Amino acid sequence: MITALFYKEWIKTRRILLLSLLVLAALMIYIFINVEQMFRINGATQVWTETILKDISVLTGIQWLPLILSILFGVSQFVPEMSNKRLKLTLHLPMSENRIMFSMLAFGLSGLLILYAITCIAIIGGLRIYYPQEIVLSMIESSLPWFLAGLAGYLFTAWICIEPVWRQRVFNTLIAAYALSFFMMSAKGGAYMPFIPYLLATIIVAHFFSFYSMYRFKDGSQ
Amino acid sequence: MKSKQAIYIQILIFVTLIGMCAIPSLCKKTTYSPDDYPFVYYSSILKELCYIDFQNKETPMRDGAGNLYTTAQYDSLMPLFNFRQLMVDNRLPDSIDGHEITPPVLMSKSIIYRYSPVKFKTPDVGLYIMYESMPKRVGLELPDDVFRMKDKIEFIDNASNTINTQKSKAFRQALDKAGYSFPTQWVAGNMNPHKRYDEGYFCLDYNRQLFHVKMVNGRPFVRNTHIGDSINIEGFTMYEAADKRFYGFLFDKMGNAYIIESDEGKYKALKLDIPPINLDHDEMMIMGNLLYWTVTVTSKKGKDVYALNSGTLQCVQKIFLERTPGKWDNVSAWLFPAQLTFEHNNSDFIYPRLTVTAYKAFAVNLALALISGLLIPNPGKKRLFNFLFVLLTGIAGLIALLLLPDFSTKKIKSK
Repeated sequence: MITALFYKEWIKTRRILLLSLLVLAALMIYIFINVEQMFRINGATQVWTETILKDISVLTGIQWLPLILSILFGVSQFVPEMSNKRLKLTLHLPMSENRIMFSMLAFGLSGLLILYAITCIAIIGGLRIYYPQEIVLSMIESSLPWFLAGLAGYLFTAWICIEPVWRQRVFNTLIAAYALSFFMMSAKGGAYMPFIPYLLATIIVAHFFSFYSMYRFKDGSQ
Repeated sequence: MKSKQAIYIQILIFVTLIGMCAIPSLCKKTTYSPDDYPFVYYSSILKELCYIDFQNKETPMRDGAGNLYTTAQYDSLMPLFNFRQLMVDNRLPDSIDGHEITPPVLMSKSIIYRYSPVKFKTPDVGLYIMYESMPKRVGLELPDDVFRMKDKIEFIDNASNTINTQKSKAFRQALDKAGYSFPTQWVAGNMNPHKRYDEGYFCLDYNRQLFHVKMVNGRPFVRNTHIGDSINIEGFTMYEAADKRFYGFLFDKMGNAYIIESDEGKYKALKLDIPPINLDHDEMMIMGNLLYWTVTVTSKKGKDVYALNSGTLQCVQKIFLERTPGKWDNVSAWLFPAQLTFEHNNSDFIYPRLTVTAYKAFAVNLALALISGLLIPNPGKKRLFNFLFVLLTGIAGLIALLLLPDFSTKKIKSK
């Protein structure tokens, strides 16, 4: 049954997954062209010095992308469920409702994690050619909250989409927007590291929010 | 249904925590203004700390007794602070207290240093630039490599992104010879290529010994300062003073401040004659001249100002300016018993900090709790829950209850 449910989710989200992969690949290519140009024009000494002294990261262009893609992904997965109340049919599958919701979210989170993992591996592999490990680590540490914002953004999108009452959706959106701002604060490379466990805790907590919307949907809240 | 209730509580706590950050932050934006202290500087003529109001164009200076001085008098009474103006007016004295006064001397003895807790609470990439400390040409040149020093010293060539084994080996041998123990606790230096000259880095080794490491004529220079024998070192900031009198400012674990002087090839820590500062919260500013250093320490209570003899760093006068609570202090004391912040004035790191401001705010909490518990129609249990929750969390909790569904049972029934 879970395989069938995953296939259903795949049908809904495959286009957006492919689009996300293409957008991220294009951005990676752009970042590496940019880095190559910086080293060619300014020289390695100048680029390394500026990176160390001014805490410049070549990954700043990626900042909003994981979040935007995850919201699109969440919308593509959950809006069809809410149109004509199709979620009712899904919840009538021969599985417990909690298991159905958990599987749907697990599918989405797995998809995003695979996408982000591929991106991070490409970034680390590519940048290690140009920079020493400390600089690459610092850049990855800077961008880690943005990828976590992607995961949180997806979960908040699910929470908002499944919520049956429009007024409550607006409140949920305000709460989610403010919560996501904690992932996007401007900070020096590595400054976010003490906060990462709290961001992970937020993601774990946010995972349960969709279940609350689902209960409200099932109860017929209007 | 139990799961629904449990998740509701989770969401409620989450939204309340967000509110404990958002609402005080918004309120602070509208009410906060920085503390306003007068500028204080030690007059080498009057021999006392004087107050300067730069907005006042007629009588900008006031002494401790309250006497006011005109702009021309202010320039003359603070010749070491206003020497550029006195030079233009051709009024610069030849000497003060037997010390010859010339612009080059005054400029070389001029010190401005600011300590902020952020200096020691900031992420470190772990890569440093080793300049040639005795360059053959004027000015510093960027080297072709950077170095890491956490577990071992390694120079990494910029162009090839590979280890320069020869240079790394030379420095490793010099460190071993000087008795340096890895892993390094921290490395402090000034990497700005526009500085006057280079004095390399001061590094605290595993045994809490402070080493001076630099490159002279392409060769490693490593010395144990032995300052760690007598001082429990917390941190160091390189200053590279214009007159090359000292290397920088050292702080011990207690918060005492020192300068590290060079004394015939040896290193000497000279303590500033001021009480220990709180390295986590206080800010310190040093404005030094040929004869006196004016040191201001800003804490939560107010601003302490000390005048030190520039040679001995002994205190010659001190005053305290009490802090007057601002609008934000009063508002926060009444409205927010606790605030959650993620960005901090004293650290570059991001982490949650719950600050309990004042217990007065529980009076407001009680009023809000009574409204939510008594006036909002709900079953008994829900009334009690809302009452206790708002009593404990105040405005943030009330807003969280309002934002989430089912605040009022009556409302649901009416639908």
